[in-house]
Amino acid sequence: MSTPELPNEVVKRDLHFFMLVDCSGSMGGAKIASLNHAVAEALPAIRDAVQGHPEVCVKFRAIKFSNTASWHIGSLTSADPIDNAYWNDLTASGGTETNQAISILLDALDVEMMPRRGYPPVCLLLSDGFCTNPDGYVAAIEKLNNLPWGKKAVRLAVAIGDESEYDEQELLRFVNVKDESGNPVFLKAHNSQELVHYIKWASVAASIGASVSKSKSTGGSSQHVILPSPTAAPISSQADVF
Amino acid sequence: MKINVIDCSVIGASHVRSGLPCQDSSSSYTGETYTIIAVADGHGDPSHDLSEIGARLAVHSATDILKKLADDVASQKDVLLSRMVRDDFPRLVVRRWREMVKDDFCNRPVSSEEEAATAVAIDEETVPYSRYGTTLIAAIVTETNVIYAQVGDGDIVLLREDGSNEIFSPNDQNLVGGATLSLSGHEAARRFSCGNSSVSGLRGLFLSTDGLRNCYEDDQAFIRLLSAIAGMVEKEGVESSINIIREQFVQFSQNGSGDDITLAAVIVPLRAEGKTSATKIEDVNAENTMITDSTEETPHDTNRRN
Repeated sequence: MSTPELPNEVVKRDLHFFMLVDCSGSMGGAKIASLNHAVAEALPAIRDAVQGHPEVCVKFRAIKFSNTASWHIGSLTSADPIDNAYWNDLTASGGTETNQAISILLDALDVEMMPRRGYPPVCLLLSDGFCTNPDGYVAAIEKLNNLPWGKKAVRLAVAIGDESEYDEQELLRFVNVKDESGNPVFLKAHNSQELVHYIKWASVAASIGASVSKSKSTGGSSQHVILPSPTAAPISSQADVF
Repeated sequence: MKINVIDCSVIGASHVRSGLPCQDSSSSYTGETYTIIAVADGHGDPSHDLSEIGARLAVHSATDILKKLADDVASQKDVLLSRMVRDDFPRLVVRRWREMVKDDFCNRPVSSEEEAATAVAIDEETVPYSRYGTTLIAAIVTETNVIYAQVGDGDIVLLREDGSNEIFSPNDQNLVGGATLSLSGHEAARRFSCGNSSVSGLRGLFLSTDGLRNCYEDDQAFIRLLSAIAGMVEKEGVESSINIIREQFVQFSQNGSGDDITLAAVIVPLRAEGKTSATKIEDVNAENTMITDSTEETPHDTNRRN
């Protein structure tokens, strides 16, 4: 005699991954080429990493920004599973309207747009320069910090190029997670190898970190996900520096 | 009224992978004129490292307090019990839970020389209640009323014989991504949600931790599951149903929420002769899977009354 079974309409829980990609003019040449290569490699790396977490469905979206910002993969209302994500190479030109990219992110993180029972989303900012609208940037970050999903998101950044060419403090405002050593997860990629390595590392570590996050009392500390310390990038020659 | 009572927990798939225990707990108790069920979900974050104990103490505290309130008003009307659950239960259960946590903490062996060296006299200020942090949902079903109280996430569902349902879930938009109110919170007694409903036409009362609801895309699918459980319990009996439910909850966690899953329910058989459950239960082969059973620590898990 067979055993009765309950209806099985179980679905995986969504983990939304947002990549905010700087494609301003200063990203031209080796930077944008390395970035395109890195993200194309990061997508299968995320897919492989979450295979060990079969209850998680990662949905990947990307926002590109230069003089304006717009969806590069997905849209405000549409996010495909990462299995279906394909990276179309970006080209670089224009300014650095990071604030506009964050505004688009804010819309996507609205409580009405996000699955109420999803995992904390991952937001990875990739940029090499100063925001051309600093006041707008500060205002956008403040909104992000006050949005329920903005607060819960795993937000980290990779800075690209020479440290004198970007505002570290500005980019750090975006970051809200620390590694196990207590350092903000803010990665500095000085060359192509570091950029590829850090984008892959950040994408995988944040996805796994968000997918294993557990329930927590609202009265506790605001640190909700702790990531491992970043692994070192392969050593490259000085000539490879952006 | 003849009823069936079930309660069970299974460990979550993500807990198995990371070596965590089942941090949910449940209990049920059937008295002469009432039934009490409770579920609790110990917070999984590492800062709540004793939450599986906190959850167990929560369901026991709730059962103790609801029994006391129900017995105190046994000779009076249910409206008074409903008022007492709303006005007194949160304060009393928080106090009882804190007493039990304090006892547990005081009797906990010191785990290191460093802890022993820094140990101080334990008082209200030094008990780390947050380490025991947990949610709690408790309900009492009398001959006329369903009365419930909740702090933190999880779901309360009332199914009616006519197919209608009522779902009570926390609706605070600030609580997303695993953030939840807690029995260990400083103002926990003020953060309870309480309510009551008529027992007339009741098909089932279900309390569940969020690990179950998080397996489902929408409320409709969740309700179909609970309707099927009600039908299964009526057809297969309590003991057989609990075994089937546990096995399938393990699979649900593996393919859905990844979290511990706990359900406690009071199920009322359909009254009319020849009436069948709205949800068809299909026969298939079930696999044996790893299960933890919280019912061993409960007063009892099944009963019937007339």
